[in-house]
Amino acid sequence: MTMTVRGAVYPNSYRDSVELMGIAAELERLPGIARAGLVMATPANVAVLTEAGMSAAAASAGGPGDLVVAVQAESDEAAAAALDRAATLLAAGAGGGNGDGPAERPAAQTLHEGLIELPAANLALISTPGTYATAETLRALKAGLNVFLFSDNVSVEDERELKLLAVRKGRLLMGPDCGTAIIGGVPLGFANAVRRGPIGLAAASGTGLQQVTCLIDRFGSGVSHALGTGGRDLDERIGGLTMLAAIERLLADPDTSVVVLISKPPSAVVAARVLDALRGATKPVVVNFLGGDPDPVRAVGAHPAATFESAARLAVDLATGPSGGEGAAMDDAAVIAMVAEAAGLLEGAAGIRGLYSGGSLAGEAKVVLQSWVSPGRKDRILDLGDDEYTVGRPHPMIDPRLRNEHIVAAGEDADVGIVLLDVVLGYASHPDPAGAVAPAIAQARSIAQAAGRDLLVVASVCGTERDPQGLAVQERTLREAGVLLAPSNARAAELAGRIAVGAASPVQPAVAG
Amino acid sequence: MAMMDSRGTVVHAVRSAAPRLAATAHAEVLSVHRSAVNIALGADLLTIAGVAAGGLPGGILVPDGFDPAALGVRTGFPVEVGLEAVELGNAVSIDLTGAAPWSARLRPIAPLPRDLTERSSLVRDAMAAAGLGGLIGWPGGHGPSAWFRQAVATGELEAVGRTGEAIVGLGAGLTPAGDDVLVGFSAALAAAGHPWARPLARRWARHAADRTTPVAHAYHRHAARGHYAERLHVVLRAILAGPRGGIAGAVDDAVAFGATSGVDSLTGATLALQLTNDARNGLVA
Repeated sequence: MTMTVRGAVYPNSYRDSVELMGIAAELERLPGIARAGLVMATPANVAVLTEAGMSAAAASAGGPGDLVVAVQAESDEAAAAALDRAATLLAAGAGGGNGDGPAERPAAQTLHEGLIELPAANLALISTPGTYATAETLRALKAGLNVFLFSDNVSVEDERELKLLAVRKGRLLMGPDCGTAIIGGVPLGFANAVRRGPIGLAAASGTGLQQVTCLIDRFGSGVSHALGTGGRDLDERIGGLTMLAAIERLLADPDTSVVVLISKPPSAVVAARVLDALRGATKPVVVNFLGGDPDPVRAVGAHPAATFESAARLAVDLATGPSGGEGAAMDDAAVIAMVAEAAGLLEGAAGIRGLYSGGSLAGEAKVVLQSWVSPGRKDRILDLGDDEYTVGRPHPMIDPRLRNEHIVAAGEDADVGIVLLDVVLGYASHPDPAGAVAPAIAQARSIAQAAGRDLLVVASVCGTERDPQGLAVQERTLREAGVLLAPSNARAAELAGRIAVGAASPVQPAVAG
Repeated sequence: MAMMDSRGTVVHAVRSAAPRLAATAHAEVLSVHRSAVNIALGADLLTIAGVAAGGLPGGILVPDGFDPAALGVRTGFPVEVGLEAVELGNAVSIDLTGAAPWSARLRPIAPLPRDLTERSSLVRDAMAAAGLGGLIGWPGGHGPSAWFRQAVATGELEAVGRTGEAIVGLGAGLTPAGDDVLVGFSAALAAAGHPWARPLARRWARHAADRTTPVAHAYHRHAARGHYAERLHVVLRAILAGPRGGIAGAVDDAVAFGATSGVDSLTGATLALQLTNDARNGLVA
């Protein structure tokens, strides 16, 4: 059979050897192809092609910087098909548009190319190292997009400039360091699958937003939008620019009938600015400034909430009508029952070690525990997602190993009687967080028992049944591991505090819920 | 805000082994890769890469996550070179002012270890798991590769030089395998303080003009000056001066570089260590 040799030359095209050899191997598997080679047109490689009878393929090559695709085929048609296939594969692997040869249009590599593909886009999700995040955000805002900026390590100065630009352009900049949002039912980042409904949220608190939206879902209502502002938005240097913009949008949104704001307490200046924006609001607003003073909130006509759970309950009551507090009463009773059950189980030290993957949940636990345990005890609440623990390691919401090490260490610590955990479900979280932590819990308890000590584990699951992990399955796994499960993070902290001090009576804490 | 001017993204260089850069009559982007960009500066080459690549002769390192394609850099972009910055079209400005200097010069690691034979065995064992590289199995590669090995075994300078020339430009990829073998070979000779290191590197650099890719030719020219990539510094120091237990790990790290470049350059290095050991044992001149 007479073989035909054909070639294509890509001037100044540079690819790594594995890619080129892989493409050659694929071409040789095509019907009618006897041999294929992708070589830089160096004299040595052209000599190899000549030895193989394929020198014609390199005839138009200009020099060593050119890439030659050479095929030896049974027919012109087979050769043409192979060269087309090579063009497609080279284009698919193109990192920067190297080469000028025939190619399909590659997938969008830049914001500009993305907008060509999707001209109706109105939001950009940016997750790049901080060095590059500012410039990409600037491009997105200038292109008229709203931005969900997941990246951190953006300077305060850059954040302020970007947010001022967003305000000028009438766009929303969520972030930097924004991990959670739900826009029109679409979850972004670490978000949960929650029912759609009339409650809109704005939060400078990722896991706080997750906890409140999940509890809203559990209490029978749903979420219109959950807007993240980034952790530093309420810093005095930023002045709450995104929070204020979010409030304006939620108050104007026809799908939102109740607004919830979530944050740790901002500075007095920023708090005043935010609360001022609520005066005369035509919709009820719940304000959960964790551990903050409720009086200024009431003064502007808004509803203060001390915990994420109470914020969710209030919002649902305001959206759907008062429930009479039956749900809260049921949860109270459940906690009291668990305290009674735990009474006597814990002998000896009752120090609490909180090991949290969510910073806001750790913060809430600290606030709640203040009502139950006195300072000066050996309790420690750790936010294991904090930078000091995650340098060079994945976040504990994704990779449980760091927290598992701490859980086992708690079992070895004679001062620890209670371990307090959050288990967070949702998109982007670990596929089986309860299953991942259960062995460490078993090991810690075994270590404590061998040393003649008790170790109780108290936890709550932040999630919904519609989350990929499934709330019921996760809760069952934890119960089977001997975990005392509370219906919310605040309840879990309360349960741990009550057990620690032996408070089995239904005494209300000092901080109003 | 300085970052927001019309020259696009500003990227702050971390380390630089580039010579003091002066304005160049003609410079353009030669190739764009996942985390690196090569720039033709007249007849020279400037590489800008993420820190993970390690120090590069004639190279500038920037923070990891550098994705020049995503930043809009394209082949053929005009490049403006100055003392304080390198401008890649209007897409990226590389700020050089804070870059720490790094020298690519590979100095002899003296004294040579007494157990060089055992260390070379450990390298070969570790290499066995690394794959064949880009030259073995390459059509037409077996012969020239074998001749080069045989020449090394004879220990004759002219034979090594001549058979080395035959593998210039031979093999796949941005830096053909034969060139990687030769650069690794002269690097190991340099680290061992062997007097053939510079003469061979110069010979192959002269021969490589118009016979290999611009990037590979640039690495030959750097080798001719005694300059090599940091990954070669690291692995050769581990082989010649580090604990024997660390050799396998150092080889694993080195062969992970690039697609086959790591394996190929270490192949050359092991041949050079063989030559060095034979010379010390009086087996060759």
